[in-house]
Amino acid sequence: MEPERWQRLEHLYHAALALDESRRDAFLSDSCTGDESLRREVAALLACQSKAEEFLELPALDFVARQLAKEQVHSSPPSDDPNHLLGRTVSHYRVLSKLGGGGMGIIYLAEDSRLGRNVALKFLPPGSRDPANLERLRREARAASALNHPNICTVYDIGEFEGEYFIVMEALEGQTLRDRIANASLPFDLFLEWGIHIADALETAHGKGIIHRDIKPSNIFITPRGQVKILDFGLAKRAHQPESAGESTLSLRETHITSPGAAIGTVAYMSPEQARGEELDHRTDVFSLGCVLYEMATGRPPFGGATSAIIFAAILRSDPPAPSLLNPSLPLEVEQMIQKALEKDREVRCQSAAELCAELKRLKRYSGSAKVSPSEQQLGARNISLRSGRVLAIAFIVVLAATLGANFAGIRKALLGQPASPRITSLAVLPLNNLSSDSEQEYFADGMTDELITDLSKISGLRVISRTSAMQYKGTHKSLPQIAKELGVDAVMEGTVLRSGNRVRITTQLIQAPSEKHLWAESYERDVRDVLTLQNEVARTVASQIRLQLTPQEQTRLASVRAVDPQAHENYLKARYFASKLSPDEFQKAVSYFNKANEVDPAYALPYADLAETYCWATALGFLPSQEGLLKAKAAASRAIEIDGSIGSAHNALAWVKYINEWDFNGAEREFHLALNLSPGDANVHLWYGMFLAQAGRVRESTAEMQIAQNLDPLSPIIGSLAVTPLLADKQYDQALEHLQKVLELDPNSPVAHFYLQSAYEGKGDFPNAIREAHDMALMFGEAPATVASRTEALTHALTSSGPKGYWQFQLKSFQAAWKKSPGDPYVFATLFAHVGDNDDAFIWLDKAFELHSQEMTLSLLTEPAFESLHSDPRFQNLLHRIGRR
Amino acid sequence: MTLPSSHEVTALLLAWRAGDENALERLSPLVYEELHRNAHRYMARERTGHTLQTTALVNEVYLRLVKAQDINWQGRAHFFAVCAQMMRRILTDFARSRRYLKRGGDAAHVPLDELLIPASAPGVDILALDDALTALSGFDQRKGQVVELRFYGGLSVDETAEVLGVSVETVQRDWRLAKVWLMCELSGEQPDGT
Repeated sequence: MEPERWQRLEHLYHAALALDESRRDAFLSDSCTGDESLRREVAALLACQSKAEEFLELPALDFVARQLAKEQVHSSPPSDDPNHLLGRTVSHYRVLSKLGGGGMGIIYLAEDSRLGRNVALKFLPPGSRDPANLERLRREARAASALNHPNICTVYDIGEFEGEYFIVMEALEGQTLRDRIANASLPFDLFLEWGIHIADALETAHGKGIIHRDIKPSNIFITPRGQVKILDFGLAKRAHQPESAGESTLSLRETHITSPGAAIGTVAYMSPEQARGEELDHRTDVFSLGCVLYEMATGRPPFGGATSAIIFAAILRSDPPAPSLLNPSLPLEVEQMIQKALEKDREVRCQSAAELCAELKRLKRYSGSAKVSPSEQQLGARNISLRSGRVLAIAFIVVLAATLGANFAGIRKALLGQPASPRITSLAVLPLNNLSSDSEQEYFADGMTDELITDLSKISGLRVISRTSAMQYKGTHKSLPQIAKELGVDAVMEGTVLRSGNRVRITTQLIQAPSEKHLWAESYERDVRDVLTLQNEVARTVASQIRLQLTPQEQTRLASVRAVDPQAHENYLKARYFASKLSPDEFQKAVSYFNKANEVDPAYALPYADLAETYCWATALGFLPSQEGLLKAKAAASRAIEIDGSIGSAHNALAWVKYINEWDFNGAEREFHLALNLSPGDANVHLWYGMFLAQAGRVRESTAEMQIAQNLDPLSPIIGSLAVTPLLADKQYDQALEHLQKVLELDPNSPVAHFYLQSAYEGKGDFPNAIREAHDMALMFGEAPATVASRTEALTHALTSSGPKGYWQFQLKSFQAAWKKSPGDPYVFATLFAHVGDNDDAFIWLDKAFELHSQEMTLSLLTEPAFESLHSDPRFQNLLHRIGRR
Repeated sequence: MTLPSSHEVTALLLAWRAGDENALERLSPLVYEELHRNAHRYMARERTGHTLQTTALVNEVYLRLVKAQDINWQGRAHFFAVCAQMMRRILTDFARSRRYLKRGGDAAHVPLDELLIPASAPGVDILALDDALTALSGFDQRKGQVVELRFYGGLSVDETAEVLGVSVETVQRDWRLAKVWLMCELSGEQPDGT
C-alpha cells in the first residue's frame, strides 16, 4: 500500500469511527466519491472493528502458551484429506464433488445409484464418532426425515463409512441466507416472504415435537428460484450433545464447537436458555428465529462480539439496538414483533412460530396496499428506543468490562468519556470538497468554506485561518498534522459539500492537530435556503466543541440569520469566488454577480458589504480610478450597514474610504474599531487598519496588526507584502527585505512583493538591487524582454556614471515617456521630482495628486523619504493641513 | 543447552541486535522454558474446565531479563524494543517448527482458534501475522512497532507510548487501526489484499 493512500485510509477510518455507526456509510460514500476501492477498504476495516476488539490483546507468549496447552489437551487426529472420497462410492452413493466444508463437517454432492437422483452427503466431524451419539443421530434423523415440508431440506438417510457417520439429504442449489444478507437488510417484501416460510416450516416441525436448536442464517438456504430451505433439522446440536451428566461442565463449550471460525456464528443465534445449558423446548427456535428476522431486517445479527463470552453476555443480559435504528424504514409493527421474539424470558416471549407466521402474513397483506413509511408514531417510538438503547449500551459496557476483567478506571473512562481535550485557540477550515459531479458547483463548495471561515472568525478567542491561506490546500495531499504545522493551528476542520437541486448536504469534522484526534464530526442536510443558518450552526457547534465561551453578542450574531434566497446566495458565492482572484477581469465578473445577488434579494446585506470591499481592493490595485471606485465602495458599504450594522467587512470598507478618500482619519479609526469588534478574525480588517496605523506613524501598533493579519492568513502573498508597510515607514529596510524574501517563497511572482522590494532597496540606497527588482517586475508585467534589457542597461549606466541622482533622473524620464502614452498617478511624478531635487515641480505634482485624492499620496506622504527635505517647506505644511494631517 | 545467566542476556540481546543470529539461538531456550512452564499451568486449568485468566507471562520473562538491567530509561526503552523483536522472532520460529512437525511442512496455515478456550482472545495465525506485520511496517513503520511492542513485547499502551516517545493517544489510535487492518488481512477480508 502507498503510504499516502494509507494515510488517507487511516484518516477516513478514524473519522468514520467518530461518527454514529448509522451514519458511517453515508459519510464514507461522501468522502470516497470517485474512489470506490478506498471506500470498500475502509468499510471492511470498520466491519472488522468489533471483532478486532479482543484481537492481539493477549500477549503473544501468553497466547502461544495457551495454544500449546490446548493442543495437548484436545489433541485429536487430524481429519483426513477431504478429497479422499471423491470418485468413490459410499454405500450406494457415488461421490461426485465436494460442495463445501461447514461447521457441521464436509458436504459432498453424490449420486444415489439406486434412485438415480443427486443427493448431498454430509460427513460429521470426528467428535461425533461415539456409538451412543450415533444412536441418537439415527433417532433424530428418523424424526427429521418424517418432516415433509417444502421449506425444510429433507433428510433421506444416515449411514456409516470407514468409521465416519454421514447424513444423506436433499441436494440444493443456491446460497445461504447468510450470504444473501451479507450485511445489508433485505427488501421488505423478501423479508416478509422468507420470514413467513421459515416460520411456517418451524411451526410444522414444532407440531411434530421436533426442535431445530440451531436456527441461523447459514442454516437457511435460498434456492435460485427464491425458495427457502431450512437445513440440518434436528441434527445440528444433537450430534454433539453430551449424554452423560459428568460432562455437563463442558456442555456449554462443546455445544458450540462446530468448527473453527463458525463458532461465533453459531453462538450468536442461541437463546438465553440455550446459552445457560438448560433444557430446551420449541421456544428456543422462536428466539433464534427472532435473531434471524432481526438480521434480515437490519443486515446484522442482534448480538455481536469478538468472543463467545461477549456474545453470551449480550444474549443473557442486553437488549440489542432497536431494529429501526439500523433500518429507519422498518415499520413499527415489525420492530415490535422482533422484539417480542427476542424476549429473554421464554415465558413472556412470543410463544410460537405460528404466532410469528401469522403476524408476518398480516403485515404482508397490509404492505401490499400501502407503501410503508415512517409514521409520526414510529418516530416517537424510535426516540424512546434510542434513549433506552443508550441506557442499555451503558449496561452492556459494564457487563462487557466485567466479563473481560477490565479495570475500574477503564469502565469509568468508558462511561464518563475522555478527559477534556487540550485547549484549541486556532483553527484552519480546509476547502470543503465539492462532491457533485458538476465542476460548475466548485464555487459553491469554495463559497461555503469561505462563509464558514467568516462565521468562525467572528468568534473572539479563536484564530481562524483566512480564505487565501486555507484555499492553498485545495486538493492537497498533505497530511493534516503537516497542514496544521504550516498554518500554525491547533485544529483543522475539513469536510464535503454536496449540492443537489435545492438540497445541500455538508459533512464536517474537526480534527485536533498534531494528534489527529477527531473532536467532532457531523453531517447536515438542509434546504439551500437555510444554508446560512446551517453555517452559523456549524460555527456555534465548533465553538462549543472546543469549549470556547461565546459572548452573548457573538451568540446573537451567530443566531440571527435570516433565510436567504438560493438564487441570491448562489450569485453571492460566485461573486466572492471571482473577487478572491484579485484580477481585473475577474473583478468585473465579481461586481456583476454581487449586483445580481442584490437584484434578486435587495435586502441581503452581505453582497453589499463584500462589493464595497471589492471596490476598495480594485482601486488599490489600480483596476479603476480611485475616486470613482471609492465612491461606489462607500455607497455599497453604507447600504450594507443600513440593512445590518453587524457586518464587520462593511465597516472595514467604510473605514478605508474615510481614510483614503475622505481623509477623515478619526472617522476611519472609529469604523476600523467597529470592524475589529465585529470580525476579530478577519485578516483584511487587521491589514487595512495596520496600513492606516503605519502611515500615521504608529509603527508598533501597525506591526502588531500586521502580525495578526498574517497569522490569520499566513499564505496570502498580498497580505504578506502589505505587511511590510510599517517596516518601510520606519526605515527598517533590512528587516523589510528579509520579510519580503519570505513572501517570495510563498509566491515568487507576487508583483506587490517585488514593488516593495524595489522600494526597500531604494530606501537603503542599494540601487543595483533596486534595478534588478525593476527588471524582474517589468518582465512579470509582460514587457518585451528586449525593451526591458535595454532599459536596464541604460539605467545601470546612468547609475554608474551619475550615482543615485542619475538613477532617479533616468526613472523620471522613463515615467514622463510612459505618462505620454497613459497618464498615471501624479504623486509618482512628485516623488521623482523630489528625488532629483526639483522641489517646485514636486509641489506642482503634489497639488495634482491632492486634486485626484491619490491613494499613494495618502498612504505614503508622511513616510516618503524623498519628501523628508520638504517637510519644513510651508507648501508641504499647507498640503498636510488640507488633507487634515495637521 | 543451558539457560543463559541473566547478565549474559544483555550481552546476547546486544549481540543479536548487532546481527549475530547465534545469539538468538542462545536466547530462545529462555523463552521456550517460560512458554512450556505456562503451557503446563494452562493445561491443568484446561483439564478442570476452569475459565482461564490472562496472566502476564511476558512480563515474567521480562522481569527475569530486566533483573540484569541497571540502566537508564533510554536504555530500558531500547531494551524493550529489542526484547519485543526477539519475542516475535522466537515465537514465529516456534510456530513454524510446530507446523512442520505436524503437517510435514506444506499444510496451509493452521489458525490458532479460540474455540476450545471460550474466554480467550480470537484466534491468531502466528505465521500469517508475522507476514502481515512485515507488510504493515513496510508502509507504516510506527504502527508496526506498536504491534510489536504491544503483542510480542506485552507492553501496556502507556509503556509503549514511553518506549516510542509518542503520546498515549497516538498509540491507542495506531493500535486500534493496526489490529483491525491485521485482522482483515488475516481473514482475507481486505478487498485490497496488499
